[in-house]
Amino acid sequence: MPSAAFAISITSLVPELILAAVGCVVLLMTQAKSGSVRRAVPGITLSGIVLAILILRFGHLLGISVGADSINGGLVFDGLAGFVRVSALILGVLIVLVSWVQPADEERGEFFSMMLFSLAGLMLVGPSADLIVLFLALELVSIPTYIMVALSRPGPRPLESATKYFYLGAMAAAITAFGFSYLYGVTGGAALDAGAVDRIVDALRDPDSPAHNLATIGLLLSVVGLLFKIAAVPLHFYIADVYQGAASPVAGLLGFVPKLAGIVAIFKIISLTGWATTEGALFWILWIVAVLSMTIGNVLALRQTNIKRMLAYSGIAHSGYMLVGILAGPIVAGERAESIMGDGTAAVLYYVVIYGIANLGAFALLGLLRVRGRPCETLRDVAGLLRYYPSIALLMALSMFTLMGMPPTPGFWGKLSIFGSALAAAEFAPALYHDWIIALVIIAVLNSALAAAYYLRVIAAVLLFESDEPAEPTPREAPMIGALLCGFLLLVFAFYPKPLMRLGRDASDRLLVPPPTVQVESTSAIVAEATLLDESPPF
Amino acid sequence: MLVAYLLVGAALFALGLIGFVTRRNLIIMFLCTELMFQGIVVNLVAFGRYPLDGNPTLDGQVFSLFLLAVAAAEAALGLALVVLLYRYKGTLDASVWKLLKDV
Repeated sequence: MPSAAFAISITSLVPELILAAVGCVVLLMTQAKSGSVRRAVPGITLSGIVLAILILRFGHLLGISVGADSINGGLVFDGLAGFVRVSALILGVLIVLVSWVQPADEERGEFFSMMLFSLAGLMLVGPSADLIVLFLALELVSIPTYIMVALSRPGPRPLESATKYFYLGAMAAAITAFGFSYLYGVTGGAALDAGAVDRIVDALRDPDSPAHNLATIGLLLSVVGLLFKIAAVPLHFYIADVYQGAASPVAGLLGFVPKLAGIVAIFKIISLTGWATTEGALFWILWIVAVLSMTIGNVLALRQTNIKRMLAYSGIAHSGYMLVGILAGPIVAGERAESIMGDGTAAVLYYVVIYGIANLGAFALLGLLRVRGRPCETLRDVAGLLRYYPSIALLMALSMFTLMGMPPTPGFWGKLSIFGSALAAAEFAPALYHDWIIALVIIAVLNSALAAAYYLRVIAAVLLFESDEPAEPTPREAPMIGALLCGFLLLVFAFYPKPLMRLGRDASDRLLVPPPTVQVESTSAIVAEATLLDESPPF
Repeated sequence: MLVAYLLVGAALFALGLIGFVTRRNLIIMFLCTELMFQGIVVNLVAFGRYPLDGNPTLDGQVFSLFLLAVAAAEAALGLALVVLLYRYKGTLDASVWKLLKDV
């Protein structure tokens, strides 16, 4: 019944379709002659995202089943999809508020439409259960972000950073796609379902089979290509230049949208192995990349006086912490406890969102401040804020404390649960790997302490130092509301982390249990059966 | 048969990667990423036609069509960026762009 399946897919995708449609409308509004139409662009973008949230939450009252738990057209609407869609839309509201006044008036339409397309892509990464859909969703996340970096402010700097970002991104996409092609070769189909998991696991177990090398290379290349999205070590070169060249709100967006997309895509690829991250080649790759990302990111960040570059390098370190959680894997403790301790992937999902909010908040404040008319970038620029603008100073300190992982900020809960689940995973790992996982956790904790040094420098500059020429906030309401909302959410998650953690638990539930293979009824199986009868290829 | 096609695909991909890393001309670097994508397309079509086991599926061919569409979108964006960069400096050499770096 392809028509019924098609109808289900379309209604499930209503939130994404709203974003894409509003994106097209906003794109056309750029061409309007009157300035008042162009000035309405951010408002329309925001209402589109809010409408998508309402449909996602209350759509079932209208008969729109946005969360139909079925596999249709390569999409599965499980807990992970729900987590990604909700967090993408909530962060989307913050991002729109923060970048409300960002690019010049004439380019605002293009800018906000690209933002909407990127968010729609992120929302599609969550439910994708097919190599083709996953790849297209990842590209839908990336390509608009290259354009956003280029458009975000005038001058040659954003162009240079967009070009670096684009070229490395195209290469990383090609590496990912090469890995995907080998995975497709091993599984014999593009679907990421139980049948595909069986084939990959069989191929990895049997070193003599011809599929063994293909599966290993495919997995490693897919994961390595995706490291670009989360800016982990072999593909991290671009990040400081991109953050520095782009306008601050765009840098804030880059800390969340591509990162969540990359993390979720890595989840989906690693689930193909039955989450065999505590042994074999995958373990070593993740271990080495995690250690190098944490250490190199933190050491490079220590040397910076430019806050944008410092936050960029610290983003590499945060990706390292996330990889520790990925290495731990989902629900290692076995028992379904209420907390996310012992559930590495849930902890990572929680951490990505918290990091995204704190990072966005910090960049929002940087974008808001001006020193002699130019944007605020260095430590000297933010010095002495407490005396003149205490609310901004305290928000900045809150963001920095969260990124640092100071208890009781949500950053602390995130780090605690990631490292705790890695320790829990070590208990279940083979003896040789046990010690290496413990070593990884120790390195991660030492790195967190190292990171405190440069975050404290910013906090000290903001709260303690004096400046005879303080930065001034631009008198804009929307970015300030966005920054306040970021701070508010951080406080909420500091004292009520449960709801977000429970969402993360639900999301990681299905990672060990792949969606069942349903192609028995679908057309490709019928084609395959027909070919069995007459022994000729179907084309 | 499959092995020969895979070798061609891997060779195209490797040439593209080497070219991307060694060349400094923006257009050539972009063409190298295209070469990498073509290597992937060869892989996908080969796996679709000669699967390791089981019957041929069409997923690989479909994937390669979408991949070409993505490559075309990237070409549109990449060439637009190259034109803008050329207007600033009048050269296609990537190494003249050093506005952003560690101090």
